[in-house]
Amino acid sequence: MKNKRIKEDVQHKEWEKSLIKSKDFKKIFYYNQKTNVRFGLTFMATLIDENIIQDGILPNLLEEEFREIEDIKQLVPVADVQICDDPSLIEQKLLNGYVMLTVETELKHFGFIAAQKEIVRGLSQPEVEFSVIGPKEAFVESMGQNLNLIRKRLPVKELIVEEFTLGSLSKTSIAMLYMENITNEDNINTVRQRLTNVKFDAITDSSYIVQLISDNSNSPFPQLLDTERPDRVAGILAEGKIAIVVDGSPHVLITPTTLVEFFSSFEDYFLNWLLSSFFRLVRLFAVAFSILVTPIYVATLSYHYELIPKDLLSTLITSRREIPLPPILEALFLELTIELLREAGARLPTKVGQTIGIVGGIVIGTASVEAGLTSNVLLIIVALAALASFTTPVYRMGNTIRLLRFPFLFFAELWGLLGIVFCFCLLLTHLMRLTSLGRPFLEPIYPPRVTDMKDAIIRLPFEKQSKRPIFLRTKNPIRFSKKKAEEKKDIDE
Amino acid sequence: MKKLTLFCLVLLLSGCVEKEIIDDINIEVGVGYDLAEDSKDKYRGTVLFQEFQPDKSVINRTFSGSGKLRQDLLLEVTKQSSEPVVTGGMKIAVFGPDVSRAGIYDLIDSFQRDASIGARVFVATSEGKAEDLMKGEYGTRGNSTYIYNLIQHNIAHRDIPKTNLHILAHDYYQKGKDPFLPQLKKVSNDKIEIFGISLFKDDKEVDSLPVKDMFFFKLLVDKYSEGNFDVKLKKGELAAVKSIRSKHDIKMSDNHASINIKIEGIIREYTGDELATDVIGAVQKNLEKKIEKECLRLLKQFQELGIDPIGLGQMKKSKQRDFDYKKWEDEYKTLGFDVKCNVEIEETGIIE
Amino acid sequence: MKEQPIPERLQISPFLVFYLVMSMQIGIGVLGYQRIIAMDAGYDAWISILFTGACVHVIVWMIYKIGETVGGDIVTAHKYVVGNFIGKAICFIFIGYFIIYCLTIVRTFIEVIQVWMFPEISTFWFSFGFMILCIYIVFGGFRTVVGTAFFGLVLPAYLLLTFGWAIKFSNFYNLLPILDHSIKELLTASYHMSLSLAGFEIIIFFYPFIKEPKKSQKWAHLAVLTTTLIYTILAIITFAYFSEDQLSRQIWASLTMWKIVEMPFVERFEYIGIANWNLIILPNVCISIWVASRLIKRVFNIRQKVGVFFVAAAVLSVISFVDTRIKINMLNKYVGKMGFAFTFIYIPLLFAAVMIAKKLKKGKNK
Repeated sequence: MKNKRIKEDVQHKEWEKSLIKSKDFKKIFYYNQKTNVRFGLTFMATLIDENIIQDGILPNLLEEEFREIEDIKQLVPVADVQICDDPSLIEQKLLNGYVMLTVETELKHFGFIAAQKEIVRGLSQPEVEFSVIGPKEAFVESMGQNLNLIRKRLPVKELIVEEFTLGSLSKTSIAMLYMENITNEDNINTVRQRLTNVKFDAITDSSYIVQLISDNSNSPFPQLLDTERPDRVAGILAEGKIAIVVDGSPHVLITPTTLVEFFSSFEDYFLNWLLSSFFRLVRLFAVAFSILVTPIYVATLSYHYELIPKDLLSTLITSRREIPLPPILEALFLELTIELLREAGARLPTKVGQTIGIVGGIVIGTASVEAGLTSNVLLIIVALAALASFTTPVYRMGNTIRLLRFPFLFFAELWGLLGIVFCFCLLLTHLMRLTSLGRPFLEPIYPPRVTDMKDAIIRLPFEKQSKRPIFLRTKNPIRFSKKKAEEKKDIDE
Repeated sequence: MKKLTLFCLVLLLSGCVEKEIIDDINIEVGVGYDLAEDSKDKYRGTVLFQEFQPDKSVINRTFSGSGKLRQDLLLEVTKQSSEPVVTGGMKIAVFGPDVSRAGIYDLIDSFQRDASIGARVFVATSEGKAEDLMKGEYGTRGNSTYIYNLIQHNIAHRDIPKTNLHILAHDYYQKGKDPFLPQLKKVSNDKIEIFGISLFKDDKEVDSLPVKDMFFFKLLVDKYSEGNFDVKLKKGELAAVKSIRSKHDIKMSDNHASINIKIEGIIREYTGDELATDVIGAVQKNLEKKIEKECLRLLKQFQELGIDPIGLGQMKKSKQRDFDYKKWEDEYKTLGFDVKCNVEIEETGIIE
Repeated sequence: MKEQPIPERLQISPFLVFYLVMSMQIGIGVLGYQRIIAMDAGYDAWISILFTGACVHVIVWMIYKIGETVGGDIVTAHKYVVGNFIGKAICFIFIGYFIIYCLTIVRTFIEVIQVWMFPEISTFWFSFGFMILCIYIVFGGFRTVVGTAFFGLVLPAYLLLTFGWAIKFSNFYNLLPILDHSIKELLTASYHMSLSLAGFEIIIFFYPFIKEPKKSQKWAHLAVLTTTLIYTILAIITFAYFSEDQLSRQIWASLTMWKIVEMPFVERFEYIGIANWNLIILPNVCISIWVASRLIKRVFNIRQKVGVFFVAAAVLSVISFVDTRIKINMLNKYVGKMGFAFTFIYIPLLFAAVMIAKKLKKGKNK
């Protein structure tokens, strides 16, 4: 009996030993005014809200009748009050912002009172996925707040929030959200499995999770969709997908996902289906244009002069006449310049960034044409291609697209148009082999599923969306039962 | 990653192919052939290049060379050119009168064999030497563009029947049909005009039609065509008729070919007082008569020359199994013709 | 040894058979089959295409019957008829056939590139790159191979429209009079056509990979029908576009026809067409590599990955030796003959054997 006591003391000491080095570690003792019980409060001053101690905890503990540790549940007006006898929890609880209460008479029991200081940024507008119409709230860094935003949009009991704590150092809480009655059980298990398998010390953002649980981490394509829009998350949860909320990250992850989803903006659902379909097609065209146009320029000018219409020939030849660089170097030079501008713009404060963009775009562009380093035709092409790459609604995908241009350039230089098709085959194969949570990434294009096309390259009206996507293999594939079709009416009836 | 880099490097080093960077090559845009004066060489070729100025105006450059084969000519030209010569941009090929009379088969074969030469190249004959024709200064957009557009719009809206390298080769190889080519003439140093149609037997030019017959020729040769013709009426008034749509229909019976031509046209110009209904009727009648007469004359002329640019032989073959072209050649000499024409004037412009 | 059934996640939906069969049938042959069939039957050859197409339907039906009876691919069928050892020995020939088939396609395509685009492109290095791409595809499994077939058919489908330009310069009188040739000539042309339409026989190799094989039969027939129609229409347009003597000189008639295409932004289309053809022959090569490596796996019981490397290495080591038009032609001729023997002689024989074996086995059971 005595031995055990000593052992516990040693343990007790151990956590205290390292914590006591920190300036914000506080341990204070008080006497209850009525019963004269001596109790101590231990906490990390920087993590807790002092107001809760001053107004909520101390007055009650000092002035009310407080005899044993069980009493605090009645005395303290805080929801999260726990009592336990496991000393190994102490360290974690303290570092999570709890106040530990010890009573001299009951050394084996510890009371924990939640008193976290919540520093929450106010809701702001979505910046990456801004939309003109539709809701204007975006996620913030606090998980509680984010969950609140999602729950408000899906107030049903079937929305399950499972919590994990990952990261040996960061102890990040991560929540997995799904609809119990819809989402495929296999998918849920896979995500759960992958999350528990994560081995990393400090997870500071959801992008870590993206890279850690992706099917193929060597792919330039993001295989989890991240969004900062609560409405989008609510929408996809209703479709039967899974959302992952990471504490400290304003981006929520969505899985499984498909390639076409990266090119659909959530704003598409706020517009009439004709308009949104048109915009989606424009975006897809922009992507193809952005990837292919510079390589095609290089291929045609280096190898296939026959292809160029005779009226365009003079323009191209005169614009290239003074340029010492072969088309490929010319293209690389301009592409890298654009990347430089983008990178510089992204690192600088908004106002300076804008200036740099304009200065870089106009001054460097014109100057390099005048200096005879690049042709003005290519300048137009590269600028348009860069512009087109920014039309992708998902920022990560835009980055991927800009990167893809370079292998295409390489093959265009190597084998001209043939090389471009060759590289396209490589890309296609890569996409075909790619999976998101084990589901084909290219769906519904391949494997071809006509019924899933309703919300892919185009978006059909909501009446046509009565079924959930097949590839999610949902438990309940019907979204709403279609009303029995009304009898067709003749004109003026 | 290492493997990938290695793969790319290896490909780049060993898989590379010869480049033809657009501003480092000399693109042949047109070529003219004459017979060489020296009988040792067969052809004298004049190759036309374009040089673009910074203000986008075009300087025409021509290089001439002699040789037995088309490739010899190119070799000769390459010797004079500052950059490698490529043939993929060729738009026009002109044959001088002596070449077209001696036979153009070798050159056509060479064009067909060369993968870089397109099918829409316009082939034409010239009235004078092809070298002279090439060496003019026509228009501001370069000689080749000038000649190309000249022929193209005349095919589309005027009296040259459909033609290009493919049609030439098609007709040449088609039994029971002989090829024809438009004929150009250099009028002055800055002007070229269409001079007529060269008629070929096999690959040799045997005759040419003047411009005034081209309207009728086109009606006979092209299944659908557009064209212009002036009709003279009894009192000396003139009416310019533009045929909007025309359609011909050839029926071959045993030893007789009957050709039906239907024209839908409009009157563009009239020199008389009033374009009354009866005048329109008269215009129609006169035009019909004129077309029937002229077409018959042309057909007779072809028969005498022993050529068949319309493809009557092919028409006949398509109606008859086990057709014998040898026998046809004899039959053609005694073939009877009749031409029926039906003109319909649909509009007369915005005044009466 | 009991054969393991293919797990469902590796199987393909029945309708994908449509793309597999069609993409295997449409390959390098489309570029120049018109001349070969017109050599015998002149401009009546389109009738031969339809006739061959009809024959192909019969063979497809037989293949499905075989598959249904033995419940597996050709190795199972052989085992069913002649027992394990001899059956595997026969399959050995097919491994060779598909390697040579693969070699022929790649080499012929490179020839087209060399003649039309890059005369100095290195045969070895291009096929090296191509093989790496194929290995990457085949390593993705059968589903990726089928995906290649799907995209190899759907994406270049627009090329069909480009032949529309040729119609403007066509003369359909060329085709008349119909039936100007004897039955014998038509049959010879049919034989030559069978080389272009071959490729559907791969069904017998991937039969166990189809989810509901019975349901896929109609798709296979539809694929054969569509291919036949495409070949017929293209042949008719070609015949109308070229005069007969002119066609007899065109090695790649389809490519020559592209020369007439002119769009506002593209002066000459054949270069784009040839580049696109890369996508069309890709499934041809990938499927034959997959079939060869699968056979290697079934016969020798080794991992399929090893088989894939073996096939690619075999193709690469031989390809540099096939360097002239004459050799390439010869290769094509032999492969054609082998293909004909395999599809139109061997499969009916196998069909008969399987039927007899089935009867015998039934008798024994009684």
